[in-house]
Amino acid sequence: MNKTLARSWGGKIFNYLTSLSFALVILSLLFLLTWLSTLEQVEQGLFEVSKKYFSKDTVFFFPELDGKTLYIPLPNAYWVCVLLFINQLLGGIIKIRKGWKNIGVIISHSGILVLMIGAFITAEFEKRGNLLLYEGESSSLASSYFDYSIEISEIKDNQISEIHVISGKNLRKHDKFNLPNLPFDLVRNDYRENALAVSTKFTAREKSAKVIDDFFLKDYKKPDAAEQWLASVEVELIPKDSTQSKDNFFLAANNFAPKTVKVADRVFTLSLQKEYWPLPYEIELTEFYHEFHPGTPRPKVFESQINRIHSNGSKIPVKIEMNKPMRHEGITFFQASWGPPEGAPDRELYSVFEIVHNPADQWPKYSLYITSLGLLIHFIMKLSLFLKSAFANKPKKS
Amino acid sequence: MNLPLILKYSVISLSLLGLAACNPKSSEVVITETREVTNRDILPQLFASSEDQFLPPQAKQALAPTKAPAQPGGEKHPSGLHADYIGKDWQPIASTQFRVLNYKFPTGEIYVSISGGGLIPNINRWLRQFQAPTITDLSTLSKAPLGNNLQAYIVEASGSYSPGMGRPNKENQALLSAIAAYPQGAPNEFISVKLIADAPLSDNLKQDFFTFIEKLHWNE
Repeated sequence: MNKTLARSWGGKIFNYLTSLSFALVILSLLFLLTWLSTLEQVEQGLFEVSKKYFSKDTVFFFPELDGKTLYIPLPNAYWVCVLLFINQLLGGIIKIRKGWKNIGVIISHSGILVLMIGAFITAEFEKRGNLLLYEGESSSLASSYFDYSIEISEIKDNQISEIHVISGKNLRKHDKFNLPNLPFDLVRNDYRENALAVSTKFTAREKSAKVIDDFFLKDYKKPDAAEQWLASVEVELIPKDSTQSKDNFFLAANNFAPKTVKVADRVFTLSLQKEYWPLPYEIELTEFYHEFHPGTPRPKVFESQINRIHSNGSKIPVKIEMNKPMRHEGITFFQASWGPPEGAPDRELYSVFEIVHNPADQWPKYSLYITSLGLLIHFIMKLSLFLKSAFANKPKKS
Repeated sequence: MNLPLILKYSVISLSLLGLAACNPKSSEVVITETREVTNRDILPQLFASSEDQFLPPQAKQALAPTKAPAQPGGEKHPSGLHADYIGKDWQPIASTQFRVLNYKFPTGEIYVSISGGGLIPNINRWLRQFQAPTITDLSTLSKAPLGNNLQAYIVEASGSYSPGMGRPNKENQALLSAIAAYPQGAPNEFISVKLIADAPLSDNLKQDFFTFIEKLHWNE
C-alpha cells in the first residue's frame, strides 16, 4: 500500500477496518450480546429481547440481568453485524493478497458474506404469519404474529366492497393518516401495545385515563409471548367535508364488533386486528391427522392434508408434516400446531400453519456450501504443500 | 496486541456505531394500501355500540336489567339458553364448557353446544365418528325447527361410534343431531344438539329430540 495513504487518516481507517484486531473486537461483542440476550430473554421474553438486542431501530442499549439494569451501554447486534460485514468485505476480499494460495480463503470469506447479506435481507424483508384452518375451511389470508393493522371496510349493499389497510408498520411509525380515497383522514392519538378497552362500569378508572363512551384503555402486563399482546388505539376521525363533525373513539384488539361510521353518506367499519397478509393462492384443509403417544395426551404425529388452490382453479394436493414444510412461490408453510389447546373431547380440531416469506430463505444453505468449498480447497492445498515438502525433505536411502 | 490498542479500537468501533442508523420518523403518511375481499371477510355487526364492541356476552348480560331464567339441567349460560321441554327420563347433569345443556338417559346422552368452526366441518366430523360418508353440500340434509325460529340441519348416522381423543369405540350406536348457525354469536359460531344412544333410536326418543330442540330458547 502507498506509504502516504497508509499514513493518512483514510489509510488508517482502512487499515483499522480491515484488521484482525477489529474483527476480534466485533466478534467478542457479538459473543457478549448473544450471551446476555440469552440470559435476558428468560425474563423479558423472546420478542422484546430480539427487538432490544438485534433490531436496527436502536444503536445502544442497557442490558438487564436478574431484573437489574446494568448501566453499561452496549451496541445493538444489527449494527455490530454491519461492521463485521465491512470488516469481512474489506479485509477478506479486497485487501487480502490475491493468488492461488489464498483462493480457498477468499471463497470461504465470500460464503460468510453471503450468509450476512442473507441475514440483512431476512431482517428487512422477512414476513412471518400464521393461518388457522378447520377441516373443510379454506383461506388465502395469513395473519401476522405481532403486527396490528387498522382495516377500514366500505359497506355497500350490505356487503364489504373495499378494504383499506393501515399497516402495522405505518400504525407504529406515524400518527396522521391521509386517506386520499376516503372521505376522511385519521389521527392516532394513542397507541398501546398491550391494553384493553374496558368499561368504567366494571373497572375503576385511572385518573389520567381518557374516557370515551364509558370506556377507557387500560394497560396490562405484557405476557412474555408477544403474540399474545392485545393492542389498542385511540383514533380521531376527521371528515374532509368540514361541515361534518369529528369523531373520537377507541379501537381495540379485544373487539367483538367493529366501529361503524357514516361519512358523506358512505358507511365504513374500522377495526384493529392482527395484520392480514394476502397469499398468492388459497389453502384448503381437507384433513388433519394427529396421533398421541400411547396413554398420554402428548402428540406423536400431526399433519395436514391440504389443497393448494390457484387462481386458475387448479387444486394441488399437498401433505404438510412436522419438519416437512411446503415451499411454493417463495412462501414456506410449516405445520406449527393444532388446537384447541386442551384438546377438549368434543371440539372440532383446527390446524395452524406458520407461514414465512423470506427471499433469503435458502441463503444460509448456499453460504454453507460456498464456505465448505473454500475450506476444502484451502485444506487440500495446505495438505498437498505439506506432503510435497515432506517428500522433498525425506532423506534418500543410500 | 497491547491493552491501549484494544481500548483505542473499541472506542473507534463504538463511535462508528454511533454514527450509524439515523432513522428519522415522519408522523404523517398517505395511505393507499388496500387488500382484496376474501371468503373470510363477512359482513360484521354494523353500528355496534361501545358495549357491543368491547364487552364479552357475559359482561353484557351482567349489565342487562333482567337476568335469563335458570334452565333445567346445567348452569346458567350467558346466552340465556334454556329448554322448555326435556324427555321424561332425561337426567340433567352438570354443564361443561362445551356442553351448555347436558343430559343423560338410560340408553345414551344428549347435549347442546354453542361453538365455532363452521357447519359442514362439524357435520363431517360427526359423520366420520360413525365412518359414514361425509357431505359437501348442506342441501342434502333435512331440516327441523330449532329454538328461536331457526331451521336446523338434521344429521343422522349409526354403527360403530369412535369418539376420538383416546376414548374407546362403542359399537351399535346411533347419532341424531341438529345444527344451525347461531345468529347471536360470533361469525362461524353455531348451535348444535347432539343425541348419541344405543341403536336403533326409538320413535319416542326421536319425538323427544325434536320437541326438545324446538322448545330451546335463548336471549335475542
